[in-house]
Amino acid sequence: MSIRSLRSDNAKEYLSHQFQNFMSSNGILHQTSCAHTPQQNGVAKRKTRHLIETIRTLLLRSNVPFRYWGDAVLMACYLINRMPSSVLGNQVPHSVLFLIPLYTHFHPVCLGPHVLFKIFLLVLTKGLSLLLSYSSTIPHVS
Amino acid sequence: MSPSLNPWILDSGATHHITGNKDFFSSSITTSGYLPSIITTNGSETQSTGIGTVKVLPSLSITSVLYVPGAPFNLISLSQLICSHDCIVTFTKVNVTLLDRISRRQVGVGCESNGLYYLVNPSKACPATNSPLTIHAQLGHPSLLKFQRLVPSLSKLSELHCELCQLGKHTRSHFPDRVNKRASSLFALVHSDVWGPSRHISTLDSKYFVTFIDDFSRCTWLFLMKNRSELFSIFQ
Repeated sequence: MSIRSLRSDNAKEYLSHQFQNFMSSNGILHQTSCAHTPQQNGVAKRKTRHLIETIRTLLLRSNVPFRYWGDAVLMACYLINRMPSSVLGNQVPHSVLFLIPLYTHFHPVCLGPHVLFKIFLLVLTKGLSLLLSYSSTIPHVS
Repeated sequence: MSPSLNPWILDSGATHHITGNKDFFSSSITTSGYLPSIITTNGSETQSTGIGTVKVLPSLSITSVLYVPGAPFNLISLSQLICSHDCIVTFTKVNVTLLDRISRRQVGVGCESNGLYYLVNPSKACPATNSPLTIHAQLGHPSLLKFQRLVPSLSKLSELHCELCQLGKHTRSHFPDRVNKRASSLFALVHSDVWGPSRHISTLDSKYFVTFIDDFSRCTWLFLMKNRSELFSIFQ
């Protein structure tokens, strides 16, 4: 399954020759917004805002320095993908995509995102792989 | 209420100006000559006892006003007024304005009250006839502070709810909620946006991130980037 169309703003990196050639060779339609109209890329912008707000909350709640935002944003993305979305009629994006039920590896009782995040940092400081910590191994730590 | 306190009523049903108060007359009342009798609405006939000139407003004096002792109202006959002053009378829901037909200057104003149009004294007329918002609009939408300087009688006004002022501050209208509908299948439409640079460099030296959102499932893929040019290799 491949992407049929991509919607983005007019950022230089999307308009590079390399990128455009790749798009046309793969038959992907590129829809760019009008100049100075970020609203036309609203879905992506809104998601970015959601992510930024989530990571700010995560970092503040866990008293973690802001240089860990990169880890927090991956974490936030992981969580948001598994949260019910009102656009989908409160279905979960992850299960819509992969057609598998979710919440199998979320701890049912007390594992708030900030706890997950601290566990994640713990894993990180112990030198484990970054991406590993987002997989289903997290619940076993708890 | 004594007739002297009564304001002047603009009446299109009266053929003559009528008052019951002698004090209104600026000159002496002529009691000789032709004095018409008045037929009231119930058909009874009353004799006027004098005729004279009344200065109803500083800017407006009317001639041949009949003095009818005991008349409870002061009536200005519109037909007489228009005939003698050559003015345009405009009635609106709340007020009435008298304009000179040639010079277009305002001769007088009045306001509606209980179904009657009363002539009002212009020195008090402005705040009484026009709402603060109307004056605000007439003065070219000044701020509340400037507005109160200009109109001291409204200095107690705490706020002006002028919608047009707010609209004027908007540089553009709102964006339509949704340009096109949602994608009907997976990966039919993918939204993408690059965020950054961040003020804080992440532990992995990245300053940017790029998101790819599938419109159908709303699943998000997020990739950290050290540099904007990495986008292509990520997308590949």
